[in-house]
Amino acid sequence: MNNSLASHLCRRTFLRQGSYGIGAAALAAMLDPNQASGTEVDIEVPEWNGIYPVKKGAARIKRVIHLCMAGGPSHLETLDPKPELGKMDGKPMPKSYTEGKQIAQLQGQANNLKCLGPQHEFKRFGKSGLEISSILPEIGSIADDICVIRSMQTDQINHDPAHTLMNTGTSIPGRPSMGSWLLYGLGSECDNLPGYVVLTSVGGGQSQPIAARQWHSGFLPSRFQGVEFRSQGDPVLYVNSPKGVDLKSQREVIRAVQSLNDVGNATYQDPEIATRIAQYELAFKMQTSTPELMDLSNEPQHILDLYGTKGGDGSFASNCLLARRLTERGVRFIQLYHRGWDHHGGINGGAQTTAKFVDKGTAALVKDLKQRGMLDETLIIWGGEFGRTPMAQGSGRDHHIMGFSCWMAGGGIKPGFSWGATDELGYSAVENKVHVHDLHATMLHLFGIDHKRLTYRFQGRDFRLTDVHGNVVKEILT
Amino acid sequence: MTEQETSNANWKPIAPSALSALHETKLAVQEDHSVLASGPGHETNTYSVTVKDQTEKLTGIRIEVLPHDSLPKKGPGRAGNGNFVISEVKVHTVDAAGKRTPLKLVNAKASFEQADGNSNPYKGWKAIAAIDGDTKGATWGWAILPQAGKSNSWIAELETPLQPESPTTLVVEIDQNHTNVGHTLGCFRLSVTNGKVALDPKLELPAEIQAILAIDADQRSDEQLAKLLAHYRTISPQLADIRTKIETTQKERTTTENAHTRSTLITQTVAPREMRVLPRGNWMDMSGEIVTPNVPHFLPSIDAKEERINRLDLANWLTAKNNPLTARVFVNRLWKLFFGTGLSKVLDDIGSQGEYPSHPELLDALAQEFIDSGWNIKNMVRLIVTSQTYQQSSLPRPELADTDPFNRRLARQSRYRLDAELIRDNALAVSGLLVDEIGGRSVKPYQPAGLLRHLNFPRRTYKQDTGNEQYRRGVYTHWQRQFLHPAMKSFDAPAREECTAERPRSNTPLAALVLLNDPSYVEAARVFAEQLLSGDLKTDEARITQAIRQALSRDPNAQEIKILTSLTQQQRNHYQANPEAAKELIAVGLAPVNDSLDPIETAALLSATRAIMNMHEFITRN
Repeated sequence: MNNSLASHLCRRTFLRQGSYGIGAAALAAMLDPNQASGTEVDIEVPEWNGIYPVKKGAARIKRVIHLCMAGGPSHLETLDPKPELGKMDGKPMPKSYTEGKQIAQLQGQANNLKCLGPQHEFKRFGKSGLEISSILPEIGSIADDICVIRSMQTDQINHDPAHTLMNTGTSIPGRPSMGSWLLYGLGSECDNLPGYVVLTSVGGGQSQPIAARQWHSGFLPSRFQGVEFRSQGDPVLYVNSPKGVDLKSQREVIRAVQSLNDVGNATYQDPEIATRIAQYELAFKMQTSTPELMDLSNEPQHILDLYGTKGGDGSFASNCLLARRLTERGVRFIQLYHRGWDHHGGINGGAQTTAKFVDKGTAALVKDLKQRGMLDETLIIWGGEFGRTPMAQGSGRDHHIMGFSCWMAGGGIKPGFSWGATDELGYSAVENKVHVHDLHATMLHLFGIDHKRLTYRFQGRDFRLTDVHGNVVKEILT
Repeated sequence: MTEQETSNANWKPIAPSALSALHETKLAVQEDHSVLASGPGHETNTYSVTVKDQTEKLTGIRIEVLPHDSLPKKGPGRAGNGNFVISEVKVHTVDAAGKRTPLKLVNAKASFEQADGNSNPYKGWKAIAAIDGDTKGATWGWAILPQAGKSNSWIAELETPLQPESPTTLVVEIDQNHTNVGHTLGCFRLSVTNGKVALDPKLELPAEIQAILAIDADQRSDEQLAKLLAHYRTISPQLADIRTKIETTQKERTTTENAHTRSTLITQTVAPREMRVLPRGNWMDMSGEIVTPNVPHFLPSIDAKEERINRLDLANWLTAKNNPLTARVFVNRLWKLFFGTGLSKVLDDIGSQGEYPSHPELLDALAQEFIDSGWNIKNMVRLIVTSQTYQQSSLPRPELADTDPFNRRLARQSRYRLDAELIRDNALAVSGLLVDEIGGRSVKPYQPAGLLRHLNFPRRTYKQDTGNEQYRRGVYTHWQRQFLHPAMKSFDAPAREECTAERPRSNTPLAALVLLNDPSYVEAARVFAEQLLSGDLKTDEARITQAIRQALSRDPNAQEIKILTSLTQQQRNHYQANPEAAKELIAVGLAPVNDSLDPIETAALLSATRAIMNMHEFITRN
């Protein structure tokens, strides 16, 4: 279906359903001194329900929480146990592994590559006995809820293009991110918050930059872009009224704007005006709902303890708690970036420190969603843009794309399960490889979307999140 | 100059009678009495220079360190950077019986001393460090970086002048014990004096100038004299003021030049790069076919003057008389600017994958006109805006709603939202704040703190502009590619990562938040209100009527006046009860507050101007 036609029809439908009536109500409220303050104007937001016709019963999940471990966490210190690599510690990396392969910063040392054994012990956790690094004991405690993929592969060896691939399915900048694709395809389920929310935190290692393109809508309309919620300053840009304007005054100004637009609409009959009225209403709702969302003071102590946060400090744990609150409010795509996994040096202590920043919050989010019955309608993805080399870079590891790990949990995902494997030194994925495109295809499949059918025409061709790739990884699905 | 030539201390280079090095290094005397080190270097070393049969009075010694072609960076040291460190200089005499008598050195000076930080006890590589008896450590001494490849000299006085009664043997030991290994001397010359112990300014002169000075004044050629004078101008105390002036002016020039952004207009590569088809885009796979520049084969072929097609050929091909495509694409985009939609709707693909034009003959006629007018854009703009089609009213015509819902047949004008930059310009223009200067650097409007915190290497800081720069047009807004100013981003300014022929026109709550709460818009509404209050208009109604005329270029209707006067009164009541809030509100922005006005009145009317500036009509091309 033609996209702009779709949005137009949507607005027209809204009009037919009686925007005049709504506008008139606003005007009446405005002109009636008895209603002049405190009365909410009843305006309906024209909903974007998405362009993708999901078949009944095909959707296993309603939303995604992407816990993005930015910087490239080492699979060898987190999710992929490699005892053989430990035996090779300090010995030359066999050339058969590395010859002709792309290397990032170790490029100049191609003839002097040495193995670096896993820096932390792995343990078996839960009934499933999944092997997870001892630096992630809390994630270990949810081992029976998660599915570890140990055969991930990507195409891009530097942070920014690798993130771009992870988010948009290509390293070429300017394409929509997966959250934007979902909003475009399915719409949002919440009426007072954006459908795609991004939260960020730092700690534990070098903070690689994160570009706004990671949550940009690319060529899709900007209404589908991710909105960053900030832990300092306005939580959303300009979500607070100007100085000297309290919420009541702001409400009155907005009501006047709505009434003026409604008067204009009587003359111009422009569907954009109805949308504008609705968006001002949503803006005002955001002005009230965002501070309420960000305020964690009404969370009970045992929940704060579960996450290990006092809340509101911009930490990863605090963001995990916010993610749960966003989930409750119907946000479609929630992305948490933790910038701190780029351990080129000192990976022993570095990975341990970063793990401490994310371990408890992550596990708490899964447990909390589970106890509220929301885990089985949510997909959680935990992982970075790539992994790290089995070869030493001093006391650290370099970027690595031939094999790395991630885990998923939630609706439709086999719990306590692992899929795929790297070779015995953890260099290349060799068994049941899962490319980033496959991850995207699987995610869309869980929403009841055929990744080949969610398209948008731009510059003369139909674009997809998975471009010309992607296979659903059926084996990890229940 | 004469003065300088004659003020020299009477230094006499001496020929060593014997040379030795503590560690294996070959030391050889040159014709000019200088000593050149060669052969194996060593981490540290001590050179001993023996001068026999010294009979004259001795008041001081001098060590000249000299450049030599055989040394790294031409020396005078043997370290890779041409440097050395003389950590200690010791002098003693030996009498016939072999008895050593040390001579104490004082007042060490050098023509140049290398700078250093706090870890160095002398805060620099000073001459005196070479006669301190190594009391502050053997590693410290005299060094000369960055003067590699140049002559310098070190001098010291004897505390008690030596008056030999019989021929005496003099030994000078030069320790080089710096911990940064290999900082030993490569070429040096020893001199002695029996008079004043002073540095010789002549020694700091370039070798070429020294050579000219060595020639008798009346024997110097014109060219030599010119060189001498040219050098003199760089050191003459009388010309110091002029030199400073020149230096300052040059600095200003550099600053001015660097203040402009430079862009490359033309580059010439010597040999074109070899380009290959990359199999499935893999740039590491060099097995693909080698290709040369060409246009896609389904398009008309391109003529080339030379064997290889260049950019001029491409430009000529694009604008050839018999190629209507370029002009068609351009006028289609121009049409979009004036009617909201192109004659063919898909701006970035006007081929068979795009949309067949609604008015193909018109598109062709405009394209032909564009070519015939010599690609004159202004001519095309005039042609379009003087047309009857352009000048129609944009009011809807109910009878067209079913037959032409998207107004493709243009039986009326279109209405569409302004682009991001113009929304800003419009608000500033209405308030009277706009500075419509053309050109210059990018400017930084108010922006929420911390917007750039996700960037790194280097971390970015954003300092908002003050004064006129704050009110310049939107096209000059600083463009942080990944983190666009929110007012630009919310109104669909592109991230500039993809070529964007057509921006989407979204309608989002984030855009509403910008117009409602961005200080730039609050400030514009305030200045607009102040302007209305400063005039002769006495009533809310009169001011609001004027405000609508100014902002929307039309008269208000009764409902609008009622809505806005009622809002103004409501807010007046509110701010009368909260006068501090009124002051806070009108203080938003850098534009000076009009103190002659009552803050409560300004705040009340500001609410009305804010409401007008948030109207859909205010950001719409009607």
